[in-house]
Amino acid sequence: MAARRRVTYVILGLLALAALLPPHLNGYWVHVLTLFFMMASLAQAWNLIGGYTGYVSFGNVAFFGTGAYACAYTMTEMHWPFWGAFIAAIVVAALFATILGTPILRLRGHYFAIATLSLAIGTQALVQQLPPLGKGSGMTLPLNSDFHFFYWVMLAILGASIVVTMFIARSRFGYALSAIRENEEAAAVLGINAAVAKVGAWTVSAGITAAAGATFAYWTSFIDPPTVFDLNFNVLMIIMAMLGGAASVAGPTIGSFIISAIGEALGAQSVSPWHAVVLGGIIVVIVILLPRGIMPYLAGGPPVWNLQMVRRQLRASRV
Amino acid sequence: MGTALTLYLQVLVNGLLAGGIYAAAALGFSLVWGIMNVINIAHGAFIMLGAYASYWLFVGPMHLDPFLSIPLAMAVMFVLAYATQRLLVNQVVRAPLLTTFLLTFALSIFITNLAQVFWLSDIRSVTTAYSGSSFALGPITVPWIKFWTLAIAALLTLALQTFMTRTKLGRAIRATSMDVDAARLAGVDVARIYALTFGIGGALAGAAGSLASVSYAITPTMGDSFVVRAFIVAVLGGLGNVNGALVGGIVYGIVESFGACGSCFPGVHFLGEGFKDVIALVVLLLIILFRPYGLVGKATA
Repeated sequence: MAARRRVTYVILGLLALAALLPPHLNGYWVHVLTLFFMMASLAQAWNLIGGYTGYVSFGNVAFFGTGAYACAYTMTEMHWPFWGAFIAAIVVAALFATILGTPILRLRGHYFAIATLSLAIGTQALVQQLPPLGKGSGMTLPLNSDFHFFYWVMLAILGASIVVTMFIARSRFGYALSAIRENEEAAAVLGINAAVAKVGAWTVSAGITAAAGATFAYWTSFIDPPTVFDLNFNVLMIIMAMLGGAASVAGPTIGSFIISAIGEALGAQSVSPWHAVVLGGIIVVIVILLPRGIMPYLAGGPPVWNLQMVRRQLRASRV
Repeated sequence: MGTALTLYLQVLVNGLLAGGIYAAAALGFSLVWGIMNVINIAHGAFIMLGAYASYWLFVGPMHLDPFLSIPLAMAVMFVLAYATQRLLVNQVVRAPLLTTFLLTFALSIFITNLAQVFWLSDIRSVTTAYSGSSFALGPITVPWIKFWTLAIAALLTLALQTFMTRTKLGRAIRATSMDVDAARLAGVDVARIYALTFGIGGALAGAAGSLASVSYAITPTMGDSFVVRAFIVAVLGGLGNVNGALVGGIVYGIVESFGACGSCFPGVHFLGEGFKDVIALVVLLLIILFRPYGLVGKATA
């Protein structure tokens, strides 16, 4: 356990150092790192519901989009300052998660996955039909070209999401979530109110996701439904969390770093199908060879290159 | 007959006919889910490949009719799906649900984008001599293509049902779905059965792709919308329930058809073509919340 905690502190230290970087970076790297902080925050947020609680949500991107649209609406139609819009986005998405979570979190396994998937697609389809939100043609926000500002905001969201996860993981609430993941009936027998705990986890997850969504909207200054409800965001959150290690405090950030680095190496700026082909191939390999992610290895487990262990684990999951 | 009644009947028939393709798309998906407990997100990509197979056979020198190329598309997709199961899916088939879900999701990204690399995002279509023609059933118009699509979906359902209940292999597949260890003790080669099941699922996706090639635009991403619908239909019909997929497909087609019909409900302004997907998803959510065992299924412990 101590080794895992050390990994978390190292990552928090590195992020604190990253706050000093912007004056020394050119615009391209500021952009790349801001995007990495954003994706890592989304993966951290997903980890609360998907990792700790074991409810594989394909609907978190709905909160990203909700946050982005809440920010856009309050800033353009109601002329709120960014921070007011930022808070509003978090509150709206958290409410959305609480209201929808109550029925949806009764479902389990595949049913929960697909219900959340349809929540994501449904929210996008709904936004596309609403005139105050510009229907399908999107919304334009006030321009702010101080890109260092967005770098710091995204970094702060990421740092906050890791600290929140750290506290949750060590709290009664966190143990309740892990108990639900391992065996929900047994958790209920122990006196855990599973329904409240699950909805709570999803609400916190939605709040962090919406904070990133709101910042994204202001950062790009234009949003439309296909961008902010892009299911690929959701798939990436899951993959990043899984690669780093689901249900670990800072695993998702490690996973995000690796995926972002691979993307950079492949030339993420040129949108080519080859990029997605390679990404798809990498995920296939990760899922088969590292189903529990990298975290167990970093935290003093056997090394990744221990082929015997990989083989044993493969044998166990075959028929 | 009043025009209003004719309208409703036509919308009903349209939905019934549209259900054919949804049933075909859901058949293999439901089979794989029911037998192996694997949600194959790549099923949509398999459908897309089936559609391309029929397209190339149609524009090629043989100029094969898409309905006649169904067996070929099925054969190609069977081999591909069989190999996919043996080499990839089987490695994690006993791992937690998320693992297979993610694996097939990644496979879907892989296949879809590979198709985009080779065939670009160009929209292709198959136009046969009978593409626009239809026959009249009283005041109702029935397009021939949709009619044959539904007929073939029903035929595939019947064939699969017969295979699963009347053949030794089909019984082995069902036994495996009930209890893997007991089936193994009874001499069933479970790995082979899983590969066969996945292969049959792929073949059915190939058939659905051939059927889709005549009435849908053929693009690398065409499979995505079919996966969501296959899921809805599979849940509607009850998991792994072969006949259920056909019933579910038709029910879903009718719901969607009425949902997209703005003039069917005068005074109700929120319906219409744009809301087609919203309605589909609301229906799905309601079903999985209230009847997760399907419309025709029974609740079990």
